[in-house]
Amino acid sequence: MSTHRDIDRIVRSWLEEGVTALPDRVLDVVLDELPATRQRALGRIGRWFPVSLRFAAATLGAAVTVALGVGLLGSVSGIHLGSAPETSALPTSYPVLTHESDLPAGRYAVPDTLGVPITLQVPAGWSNCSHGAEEVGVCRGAGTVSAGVTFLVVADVLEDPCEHTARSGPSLGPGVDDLVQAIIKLDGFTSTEPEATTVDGYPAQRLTVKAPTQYVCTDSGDGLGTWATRSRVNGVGLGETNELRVLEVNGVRVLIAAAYPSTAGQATQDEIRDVLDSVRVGR
Amino acid sequence: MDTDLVIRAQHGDEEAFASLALASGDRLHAVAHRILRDLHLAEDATQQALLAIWRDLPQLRDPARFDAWSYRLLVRACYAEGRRERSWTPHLRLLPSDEPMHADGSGTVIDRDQLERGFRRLSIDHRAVVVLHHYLDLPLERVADVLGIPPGTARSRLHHAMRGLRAALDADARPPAREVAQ
Repeated sequence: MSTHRDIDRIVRSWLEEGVTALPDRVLDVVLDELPATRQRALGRIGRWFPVSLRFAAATLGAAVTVALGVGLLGSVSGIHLGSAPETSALPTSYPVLTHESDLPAGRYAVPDTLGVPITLQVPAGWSNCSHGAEEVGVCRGAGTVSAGVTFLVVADVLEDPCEHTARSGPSLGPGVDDLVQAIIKLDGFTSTEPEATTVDGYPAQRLTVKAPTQYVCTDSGDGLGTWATRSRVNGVGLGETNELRVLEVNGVRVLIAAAYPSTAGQATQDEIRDVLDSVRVGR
Repeated sequence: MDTDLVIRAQHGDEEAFASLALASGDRLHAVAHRILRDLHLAEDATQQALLAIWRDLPQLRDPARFDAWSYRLLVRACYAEGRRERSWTPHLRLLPSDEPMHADGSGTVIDRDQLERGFRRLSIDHRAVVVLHHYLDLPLERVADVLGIPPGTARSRLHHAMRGLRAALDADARPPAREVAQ
C-alpha cells in the first residue's frame, strides 16, 4: 500500500519524464497564422471554441479532394458520368493510413473502417491527420498544419456554425444531395452551385465552400463548426476554403474535402489538387 | 515574463508575440503533453493555445498575470484535444508481463505503466490539477485561480485524482500486465 508521501513523490518523479521542447514547426505554424488571426478588442467576451486547427485543416482539405479528382480522372479515363463502376478489392500492397504522423511519400489505402476502398498518392512531407474511423485525412506538413485532404462519413451538418454541440440530427437525409444542400445552407459561408462530376468514375457532386473571414459568432473562438461524423464535430478556420466532393460508393456516402487557408499560396493549392487527382476508388 | 513584451503584443506587435511564444512555448507544450499523454495532441493543444493567447491578449487586463492566464487557455485547449482523443484511441490489449515487481514502489517500469493507465482514466479536469500542482509546483490556491474554480474544488479534484493514482499503483496485487498494440 502506498502512503500519501509515496504517491506524491512517485507522481512528481513520473511527471518529470517526457518531452519539454516545443517543435519548431509548431511555433512556425503559429507565427504564420498571426496575420490571419485578428485580435479581439478589449471588452469583447471570449469563449473557448473547441475546434482544433489540425481538425479544421483536415476538414478543409478533405472538402476539396473528391470533386477535383473525379473530374480530372473522369475526363482522362473516359468513364461515363452517372454510371458507377463496380468496385473491386484494393491491392493489398498499399500501406494503410494509420496513426503515425509523418508519412513517407507513396500511395496509401484508407483503413477499411471508412467503409469505402480508397487509395491516394501522398507527397513527401505530408502527415496522417485522421481522427477516427470515419474521418481519414492527410495533411500538408506534419502535426499541426493548415491544409490537407480528408475523407469523411458525415452524419450531421451543424444548423448553427457558432454552436459546436448542436447538430441537425435526423434532419439530414441519407443521400448525396441531402448532404450537399445542408452544406450550402451553412450560415455565413459562401458556396458555389453544386455541379455533377465524377470521382474515379463514380458520380459525385462538387462544390466549393468558403468560411467567412470575419467572426460571425458573438463568442466564437478558433473557427466555425461545419459537419460531423458520429464521433466528432468538424470545424474550419476563418477564411478557409473547402473544395468538396460528395459521392456514394457501395451504399456509403463519402465527403471528400480539400482544404486550405486563405493564406495558402499557389504551390500549396497545387499540391493539394495533386493529391485529389490521385484518388482511386476500389481499384 | 517580460511585461513590456506582453503589452506590445497586446497592441498587435507580432515580433513581441513571437518572443513571448518562444519563451513560453516549451513550458506550455510540456504541460499539455503531461495532461494529454500524447505528443500530437499536445502539439495541437499548444498551437491552439498560442493562437488563442494572441487573439485574446488585448483582453488580459493585468500583463503581470500572463503566465497564469496562458495556462488557463492551454488547459482549455487540452479539454478540446481530450475530447478528440477518445475518437482515435488505438486498440490495446493486455498481455502478461515479464517485468519484475519492485518492492520500493518508485521509478520502476511497473510504476510508470500503472501510473500511465491510472492517469489516463482521469478526466482532463483532474489531470490538469495534478499537473499544475505536482509538475509546475503551483500551490492549490493558484491552481484554482488558473482554472477558474474555487480552491475547495481544486483540493477535491486533487484528492480524487491522487486516490485514483494510488489505487492504480496498489493494484499490483494482481499479476502485472503491459499493453501492446494489437
